[in-house]
Amino acid sequence: MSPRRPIVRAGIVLVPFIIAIIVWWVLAAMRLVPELFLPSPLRVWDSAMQMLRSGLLLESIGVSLLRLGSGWVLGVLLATLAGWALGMVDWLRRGVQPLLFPLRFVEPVAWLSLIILWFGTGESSKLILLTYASFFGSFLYILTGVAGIDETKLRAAQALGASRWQLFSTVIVPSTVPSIISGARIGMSYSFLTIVTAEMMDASSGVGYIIKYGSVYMRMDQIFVGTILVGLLGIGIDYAFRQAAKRLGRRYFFDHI
Amino acid sequence: MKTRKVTRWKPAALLGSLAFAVLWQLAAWISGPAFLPGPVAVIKLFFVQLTTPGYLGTVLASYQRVLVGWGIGSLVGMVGGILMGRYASLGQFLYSPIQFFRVIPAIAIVPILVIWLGVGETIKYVIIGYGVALVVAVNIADAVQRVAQVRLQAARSMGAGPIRIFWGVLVPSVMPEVLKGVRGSLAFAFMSIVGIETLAAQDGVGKMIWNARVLHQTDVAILGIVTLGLMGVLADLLVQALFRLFGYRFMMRR
Repeated sequence: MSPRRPIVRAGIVLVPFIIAIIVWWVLAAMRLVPELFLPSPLRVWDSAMQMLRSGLLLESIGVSLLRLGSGWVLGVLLATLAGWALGMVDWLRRGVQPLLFPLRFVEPVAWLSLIILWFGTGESSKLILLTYASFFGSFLYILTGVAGIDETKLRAAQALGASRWQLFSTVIVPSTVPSIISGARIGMSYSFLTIVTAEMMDASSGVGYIIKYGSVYMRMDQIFVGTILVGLLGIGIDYAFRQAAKRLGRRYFFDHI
Repeated sequence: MKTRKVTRWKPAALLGSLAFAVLWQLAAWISGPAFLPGPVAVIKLFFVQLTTPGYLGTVLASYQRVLVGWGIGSLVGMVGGILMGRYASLGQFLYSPIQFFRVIPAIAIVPILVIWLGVGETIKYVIIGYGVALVVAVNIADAVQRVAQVRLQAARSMGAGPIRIFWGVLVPSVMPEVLKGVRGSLAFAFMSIVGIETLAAQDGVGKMIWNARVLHQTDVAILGIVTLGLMGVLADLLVQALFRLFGYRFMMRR
C-alpha cells in the first residue's frame, strides 16, 4: 500500500469492518431470519463480556497461546537444525526432499488420530501435533532456502580454505536466515490452523473449544464470539511476528515480509 | 545466480524412499504390529481394502469434495483477484477484510455454516473453496498489479479498447502466475478436508482416519494418511498434465 498519513490508512483498514458491522446489525434487526441463525452484534458483545467476566475468555486464549507457542518454538527449532544438517550433507537432502512432497497434501490434523492412539489425549499429544505442524510448515520452506544457497559462495569459501565449521557458520547459516524467518511465519500459520482444528475436534479447553461448545449447545452468539476471537488472535499473532521479523531480519537484508 | 539443483534426482529419491521403508519396517518389528504396522502390512491392507466398495467410496467422496471445492475456489479467486488488481480502489477496500478472513482457519466457520446450510455437500465445497479463493485472489491481484504499465499503455495508444486490453494483454501477462497459483492452491484444498470430515460428514478419508482412533486401528489410520498423500500427488500430476495440454502457450515464456 502506498504510504499515506496514518489516519487515512487506519480509515481504509477500518471502514470495511464498520460497514460489515452495520449491515450485520441491520439484518439482525430486521429479523428476516430467526435469532438462532443470526444473533445481533449487541448479543454477541454481551456474550463476549459475560465470558470475559467469568474468566473463560482469557483462560481459553492463554491455553491456546501456550500450546501454540511451545509447539511452534520446538517445531521451528527442529526444522532449522534439520535444514542446516541437510544443507551440509547434500546426498541426504536429495534423498529426503522427494519424500516430503506427498506430505504437503496431508493436513497436520490427520496425524491427530494416530498421535492419540500412541500418546493418549493429554497435553503431550497436543504438543507433539503442534510441533509437527510447525516443523512441517517451516521445514519445507527452509529446505528450499537451503537448496537455493549460491554454489559460487560455497566454492569460494572452500577455495579460500574454510573448514567445515567455517563453511557452516559463515555461508550456510547467514544465507538461510531469510528462509528461516519466512518458514517460521508459515509454521506459525500452520500451527494456528492446526490448534484451532484440533481444539474443535478433541479438547476441553482453548479458543477452538469455545466454538465447539457453542455449536454443541446451539448458542450462535457464542460461536460468533469464538470465530471472531480466532480471527483477532490470528491477526495479532501475525502482526507481532511481522514486527519482530522486521527488527531481527534487517541484518540479513530481509525486511520485505 | 547459479544455485544447487532443486530438481529431483531420481536415484536419490528411490534410495531415500527405500531407506525410509526399511527403517519403518524395522521400527514396526521392534514395536509390534498393534503399535506401528509396517509398510508391508499397510500395503497388504491397501490391497484388501481396494477390493471392498467401502474404501473406494470413501476415497471418491473426499476426492469430490476437494476437487469441486478447489475448482470453485480457484474460479472465484481468479475473478476476484483480477478485479482487485485492475481496480486499485476495490483492492484497497477489500485488503483488510481479506487479511482478516485469511487468518481465520476455514474450519472455524464450520459451525456457523452448519447452522446456516445444514450438513450437506454444499458446506464442504464452501469451506474448501473459501480457503482456496482467498489465497488465489491475493496472489492474482498481486500479479495483475505487477503487469508492466508500459504494455497496457502501448496497447491503449494503439487503439485497443478495454475488452481487448483485458483479453489480449492482461490475461496473457498474468497467466503464468495464475497457473502457478492454481497448482499451488491444490495443497490448500487438502488442508481442511480432514477437519471438515471429522466435524460434519459421515464418510470420507478424514472420517476414516478419525474413526480408526476409536477402534484402535493403527493400520487404518496410517492407510488413511498414505491415501491422502497419494490422492494429492495424483491430483497434482493430473493438473500438471492438463496444464501441459492447454496451458503450454503461456508456460513457454518462463
